[in-house]
Amino acid sequence: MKLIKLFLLLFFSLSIQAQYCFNFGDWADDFINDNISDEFKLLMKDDALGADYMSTWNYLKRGGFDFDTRTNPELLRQLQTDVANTKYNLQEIFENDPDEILIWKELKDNPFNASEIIKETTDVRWLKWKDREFAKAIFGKGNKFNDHMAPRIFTDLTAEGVDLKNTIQIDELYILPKKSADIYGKKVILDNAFIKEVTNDFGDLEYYKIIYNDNKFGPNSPWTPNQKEEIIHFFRDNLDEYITLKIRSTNTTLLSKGIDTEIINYGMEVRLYREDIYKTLNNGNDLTPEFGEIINMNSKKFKE
Amino acid sequence: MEIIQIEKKLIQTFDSLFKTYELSTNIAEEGLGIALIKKNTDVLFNIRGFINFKNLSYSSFTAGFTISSIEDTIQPILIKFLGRGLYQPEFSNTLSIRRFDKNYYEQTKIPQINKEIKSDKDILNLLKELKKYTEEIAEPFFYKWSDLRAINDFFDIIPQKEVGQYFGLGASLKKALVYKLCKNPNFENYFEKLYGYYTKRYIANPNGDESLKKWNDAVIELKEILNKIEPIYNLEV
Repeated sequence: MKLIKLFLLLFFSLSIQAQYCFNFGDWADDFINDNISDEFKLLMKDDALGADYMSTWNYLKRGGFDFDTRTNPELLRQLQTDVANTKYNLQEIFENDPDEILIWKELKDNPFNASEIIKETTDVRWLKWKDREFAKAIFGKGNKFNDHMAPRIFTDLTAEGVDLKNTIQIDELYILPKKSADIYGKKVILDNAFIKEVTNDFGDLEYYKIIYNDNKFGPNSPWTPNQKEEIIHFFRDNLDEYITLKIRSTNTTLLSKGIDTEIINYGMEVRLYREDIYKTLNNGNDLTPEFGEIINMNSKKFKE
Repeated sequence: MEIIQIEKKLIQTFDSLFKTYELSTNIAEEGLGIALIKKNTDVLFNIRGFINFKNLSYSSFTAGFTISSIEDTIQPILIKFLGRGLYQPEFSNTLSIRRFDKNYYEQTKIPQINKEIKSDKDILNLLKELKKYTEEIAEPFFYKWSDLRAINDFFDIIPQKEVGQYFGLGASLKKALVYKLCKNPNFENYFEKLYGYYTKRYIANPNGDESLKKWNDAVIELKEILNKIEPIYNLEV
């Protein structure tokens, strides 16, 4: 009986094999693997009824995902749904470049984080997703939490005892960390920046300091690669009191956010002290992300 | 309306309402920046507004001016020593209404209400409002303050601790330069204090915060520059 099933499936897969570099031997190995779930086998029956789970399995396989991942029925269902959505055009994308599936999965696993990564990245493969319909739908979730937090973060941080008097709030501020005189790190986007003028006894602005909050989708939601490398790991690996950041948001962008470019402007340097870094967690609800908790970088609960 | 159409219509209509200003527009990712620019030999005046892409609306205007005889000298020092970005005259106002607005110029506050742009008529209204703002708020501000002597007198009045609130980064350096340019009788006394303040605190703590050295270097450079500068006015007499 098992052999007949396999034969039938071989028949259905012939066309796929020819067209999309489908390796039937690999597929059969998974199918008869002792650890394969019944649910996976049931999905393959659906395949015979018209859905195309063999192709979705193949996309995951070509992307290099391990056995557990590529035979995960839930993941296969999600992928099948997205591939079937003609608006997304994912089939063509995955067929042209097997590695694109890796980004699809990253977007799917960490939608909130992905919406931040895409703004910072210089990776050409990621940048291609920026204007794709699928990614736009995903990014909506991340933006939703940011939009929720922006108007209330001043009050929430103040309630935590953070002194935000005489600060100017700028949401989604682009900065470059200064490494030395003319050397800068990678672009980082700060969800909420509160900039303060620090003056000396002679009335001069000694420096600008920044109080930084980033919104994260749950306690384990990672920092973006650039946030981690340039800020979080910098403070972990160095004893420096602060990092100097150069503002990279353009003056036009700042003006559009209602910021007075007389005070805060493109190219200006600000200091970020380690004790002025906060992250705000949401309540963990994927659909209606709301405020959960604020954690300071000096707190033990502050995880990378 | 598309932002391109708005820009086109603004340019077409502008000259009929404004005779002495040039219109400069700048389309960016977030919207359309509008700037009215006027220059005389020493001062660049600007009045600004912004139309947001999101809802094609504008809310408020701002105005300021750059005095070349101050900024052309001070900005290079700020860039060299104090981490200021590029010197862009239109973004390096010597004084701006917003800075005054915060502490002093309460009467120039204008309501921050979003006004949508849907038709040519709305564009004309925007220009009319801009003209009203120019005549009633910006120009009186320009005429009162955009003169070295007025700035000199203002520095005489405001407490030293507040100079930064009005003149931003490098305010104390600007004050020294203005005093020198106007031959203010307080110049020597003031500069001696300024120079002493920044050099002594660096000598006392040479390995301290990097800003101590920056300010030390900035006042040393300013001293050399001031030695070569001749006054424009003589307020000593």
